[in-house]
Parts: sequence; structure tokens; C-alpha cells
Amino acid sequence: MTEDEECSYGTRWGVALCAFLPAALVVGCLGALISTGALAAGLVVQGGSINVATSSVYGTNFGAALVDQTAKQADGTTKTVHVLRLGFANGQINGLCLTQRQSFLGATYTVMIKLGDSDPATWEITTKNVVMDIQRVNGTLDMDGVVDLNVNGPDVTTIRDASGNVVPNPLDSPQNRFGIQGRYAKFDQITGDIQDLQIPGVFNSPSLDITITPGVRTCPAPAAPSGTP
Amino acid sequence: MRSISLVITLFVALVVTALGPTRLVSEARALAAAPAPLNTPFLPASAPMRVTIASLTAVNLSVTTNVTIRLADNTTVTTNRYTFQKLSLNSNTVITSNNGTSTVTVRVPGYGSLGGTDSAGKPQTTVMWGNISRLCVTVILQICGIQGLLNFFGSLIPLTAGASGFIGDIYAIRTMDDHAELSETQNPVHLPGSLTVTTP
Repeated sequence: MTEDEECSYGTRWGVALCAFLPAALVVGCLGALISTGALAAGLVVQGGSINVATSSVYGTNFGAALVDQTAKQADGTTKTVHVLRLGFANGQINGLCLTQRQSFLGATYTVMIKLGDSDPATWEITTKNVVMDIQRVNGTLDMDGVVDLNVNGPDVTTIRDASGNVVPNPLDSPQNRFGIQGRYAKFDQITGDIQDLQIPGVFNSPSLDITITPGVRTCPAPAAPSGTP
Repeated sequence: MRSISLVITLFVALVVTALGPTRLVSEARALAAAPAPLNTPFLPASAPMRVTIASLTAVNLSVTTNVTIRLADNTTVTTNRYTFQKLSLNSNTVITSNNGTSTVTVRVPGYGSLGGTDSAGKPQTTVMWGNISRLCVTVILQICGIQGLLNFFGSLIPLTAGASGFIGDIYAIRTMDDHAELSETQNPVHLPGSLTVTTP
């Protein structure tokens, strides 16, 4: 192998930087837009198993239902998995961290997205709707008001349309699936794996931080929230 | 150049997913005409939840037998209605829903609750529709089974001293709190533990 050939397999940091900088600028602008609340588009993070950590997710008109979800596997093929889809209308989030592993030139990198602040007393990320597909999470789920367990999945409701009418089957559940319905819900110190997370409407967050680091990283353990939203 | 294109692809994918359309929840699944509930406040899924509780307390428990309810598959089943007052979970509660293709499991290893108090501080009700096959109360000797407890205590079974070994196949659970508020911290349903979905 010649010296030139060896060089062709090395990382061209200077050239790679040229690719990183414009992309980082776009991401930075995205964060700035979110911080001012001017971003009308929502946030959708999906594409495989995602590690999540948050001090608390809170919302009115809470619902959960067992649904089918298409998941991408490591070999690029897709398969249908079953997940418990949680929906929080008028959601508030107390800090949020998401990580996902990516393979890149044979090496493993971790994409980490952090929203909100580190103050456990504030639910600083405000939304009209939060949807989260759960595979395995730990945390403390509190529900208030009238709470029903084993509700037929399509009968679970969360959000309302522009006219104020309840949106039918907002979690897109097939018939005869397990569901939960509650007036209020607060899910504290969530850690674990989710299939995806969506904030479909306008949302506000004081900060957005996206990093890509080599190796396997996980979100720090979330602090217990203090007080109520 | 390969490394550059991959770097760009990675970042673009990240931005696109952040700004991408909300296709997963934007189109609600078309609803077939669902049957109306019968003797339950909502239509339960047809697979009952297996509920096990190692230790619990409640103010009391009353039982109504021969209650016919309708399930989401439009079948009916004749079962029982159990009404608890302020149901607390003391240890090792597992709620499992298995519909044959996947299993949802709620596991609460320590203290939790499925019932609270009203705005006047009085116990509120938790209603279960299904069949409790095992529940034990120790009164000098241990008495197990709902019928045995009814025979001993009468129609209102006191559970303030605690009960153990709860096993039930439950179609529906409803808990109520008449003073739910945004700032409320005494939530009737308190489940510290784990939520998992497994597919065989």
C-alpha cells in the first residue's frame, strides 16, 4: 500500500469541517427559531430506538393506546413493532434529552438532542401536543381526574381540532387494543427507550442543543421535578 | 469525498427529522362503528388485564355479581363489579394486558395507588369489572377468596388492616377524583415503576 493510498483512508478534518459548519449553522438557526417561539413546524424524532430522559412530561387530556409502528432495523429493513403511544394535549416538558446511535464509517457515533433547561422546577417546553411511542421506560406515572384503564384504543382521546371538537382516534390505534384515558397526567423521571417522539404543533423551548460525539453516550439521569407545572 | 457526503447526509437527516411532517399522528385511523358500552362507563378491550398485587390496603370493598358488560369486539361477558374505597398499592403490583400479539406491562415494585380522596378528604371509589380469583385477609387465620371474605365480613369487606395475594382478570378499571386541578399533587393514580411493551 502506498502512502497516498493510506492517506485516502484518513479523515480529512479540514474538508469535513467545511461540511460541518454549514450544517451546524442550519441547526443553530433552528435552535434560535425555537428559542423565540417563532418556529411553526413541530419536532419529529424517529427512525429506530431512541434513548430518552426527562424530569417530567405533563399534560391535560392524557391518553395512551397500544399501536402498530414501523421500525427500521439495523440491516435497513423495516418491521412492525407494537408500542404504547402516549399523547399529552397541551403538554409541558421539564427538560428533555434524546440520544440515538449512528454508524458512520464503521464507527459508532451518538446524536444527542437536548431541549429546555436544567431547572427541575420549571416545565419550560410548552406545546399543544406531545406524542411518544414507548417500548420500555422507567418513571413515575401520576394520573388525576377520572382515569380509565383498558379503554378500547380508538376511543382514547387527547387533542381537539380548530373548532374545539375532540379529534377521533388521535393516537391511530387499531380496534380492540389496550388504552388509558386520564384528565391529567404527569410522567416524572422518565428514562428508557422510545420508538419516536413528536411535537406536531407549535412549541416553545428556551434552548436546543444538538451534538454528535464519537462512541456511545447516554443522557444524564433526570433530576426529580420539584413543584407542579 | 465519501466522508463529506456522509457527514452532510447525517446532518441533513437530523434537520429534516426535526422539521419533518407529522405523518404519524396527522391522519387518524378511520373508525368503524364501535359498539356502545354496556354497564361500564367506557368500552373495554376484550382481553382482560391480569392484575396481581402482593399487598394492598383499602377502606373497604363491596361486590356486585352477575354484571353483563360489552367488550370492544362486540361480545358480552357476565362478570362482577368490585368497588374499592381509597385503594392503595403497598408492594409488587403488576398490570399486564396481553392481546395475543403483544403485551403491555405496568410494574410497580413499591408503594403506589389506584384511588385517592375527594375534596373533603373522604375516600373515593375505584371500580373494577372482572373476576378477582384470589384475595386474602388475615383475621387470626388467613381467609382467601372473595366468597369466603363475603361470608365472614358480610357485604362490605374491610381492608384497612391490609390484604394480600390479589389476583384478578379485570376488563376495566375506573378511578375518580372530584378535585383534579393543574396543581394537584395528591393524584389518585400513582404508578412509580416501569412501562414495557413486548412482542413475541
